[in-house]
Amino acid sequence: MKKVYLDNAATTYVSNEVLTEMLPVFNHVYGNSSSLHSFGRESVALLDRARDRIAKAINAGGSEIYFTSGGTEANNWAIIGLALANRAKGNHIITSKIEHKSVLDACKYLETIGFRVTYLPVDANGFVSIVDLIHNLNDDTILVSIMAANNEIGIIQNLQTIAKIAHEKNAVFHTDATQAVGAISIDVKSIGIDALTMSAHKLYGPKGIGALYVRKGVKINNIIYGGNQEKGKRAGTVNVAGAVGFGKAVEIAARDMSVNNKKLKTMREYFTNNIVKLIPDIKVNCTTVQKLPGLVNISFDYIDGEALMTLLDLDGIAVSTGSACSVGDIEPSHVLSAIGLTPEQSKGSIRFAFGKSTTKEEVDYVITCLEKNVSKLREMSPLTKKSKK
Amino acid sequence: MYNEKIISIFQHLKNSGEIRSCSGIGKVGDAAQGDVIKVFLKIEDNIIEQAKAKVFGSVATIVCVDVAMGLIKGKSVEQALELSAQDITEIVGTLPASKKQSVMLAQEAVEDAIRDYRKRQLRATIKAD
Repeated sequence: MKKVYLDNAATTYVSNEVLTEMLPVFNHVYGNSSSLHSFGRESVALLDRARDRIAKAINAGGSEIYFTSGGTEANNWAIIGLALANRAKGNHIITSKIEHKSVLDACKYLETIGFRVTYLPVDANGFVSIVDLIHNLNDDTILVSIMAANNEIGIIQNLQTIAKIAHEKNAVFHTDATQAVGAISIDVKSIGIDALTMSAHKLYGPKGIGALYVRKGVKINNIIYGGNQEKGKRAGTVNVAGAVGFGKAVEIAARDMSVNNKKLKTMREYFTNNIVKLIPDIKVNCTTVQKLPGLVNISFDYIDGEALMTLLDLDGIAVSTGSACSVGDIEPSHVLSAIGLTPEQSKGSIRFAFGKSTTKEEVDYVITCLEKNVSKLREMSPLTKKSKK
Repeated sequence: MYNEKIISIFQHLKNSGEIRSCSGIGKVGDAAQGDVIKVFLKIEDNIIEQAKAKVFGSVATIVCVDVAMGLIKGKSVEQALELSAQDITEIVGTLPASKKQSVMLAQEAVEDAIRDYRKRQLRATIKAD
């Protein structure tokens, strides 16, 4: 059976260039980077190179990059670590309603220990309300955390404006750039980012490795204890092979960004235009041009997204009904609810995330299968235009 | 997430659709809250001759309803009301924890269709009297 992978926002394959660079680290340069002998030193050299490559991609310094086990840990660390480090100044945090769960759940935890959190609304495209941000910022605000690009709808926030406003009240600005790094250019200095979350497996690197950029001079508390790794900031033996793969993946992503983005955007537009033309009663979510080039989220009226996803899966096509981290949730997506979709529309939504290897032939196959399966499920559905009214 | 039995039934649904001149219609669920099921029964001499359903919902609900329709076909109205969760799960196997309500919804839809059938019967009797 034909297999088409359109779930690249959940994870990507490890590219050959990345894998080639990682392999010797598993069985040749395998020293613990905390060890003082030559084996350890060799690993340290690899880690430093990886750190520099990652730093270069976001215009940071290598010493400002701390490796983590992934984006979730980096987000947890940023939210909890920055809040605790700045508690003497205030106890108010501002974030948005469409953040990843690793930010939202960390904020919920902070609420249980006395912090106050404001969850900013977004408009129909997912843009955070700047007016609401200004309105809610006060002298007690210590942290503003707004994601760079959303994993479900692809909206890219106006980071520079948000950072500027946060800094006017001396709040630290963190951004979850898990979906953004490698897809859009990010310059932490010119934007004014104090902390930034990254993950390797969204950009053709390995799973199990991420990083948190923390601007020099920004105070952050530890959340993992038990060793002096990462300059005493994050305990635990560093995943050297993962870090090497991450560094290479970021380097490739930066190198190929304009070519990949042009291709992804063309693919996305071709797909979306065809779907809009061929399938009635749909809604393309997030229609602004300021969004990730390879992602589109569409709501199909009268049908359940999970059933559609399963039918597509039976045709060999991998898509997602929301974020992979929300699988098993029975509540509608918090992101789609925040942009104003009804629970019914939210239930009928599918995320299509194209990758750098996606071909036009594959997209054509998906369009054909989608049209067939939407029609099949609609025939089975008791909901109609009339019942909706 | 779903076992092979569920996927196989989902691929080969036998009781999806509607019955034009049916004896009872059952409708349960609310699209704003979750799944919606509409059941159509054709009953003659107290026996369910045909049972079909339309479903807006997850694979679990679509499959449970399809199985429920198959189980009540050829049964008396009273036997159909005895349809248990176990009868359905014996065929579909274990459902994911978040989909357990699908079985209950299938049962409720059958009960609602029979309720409608009985109302229609009562109305017909009153009219004849």
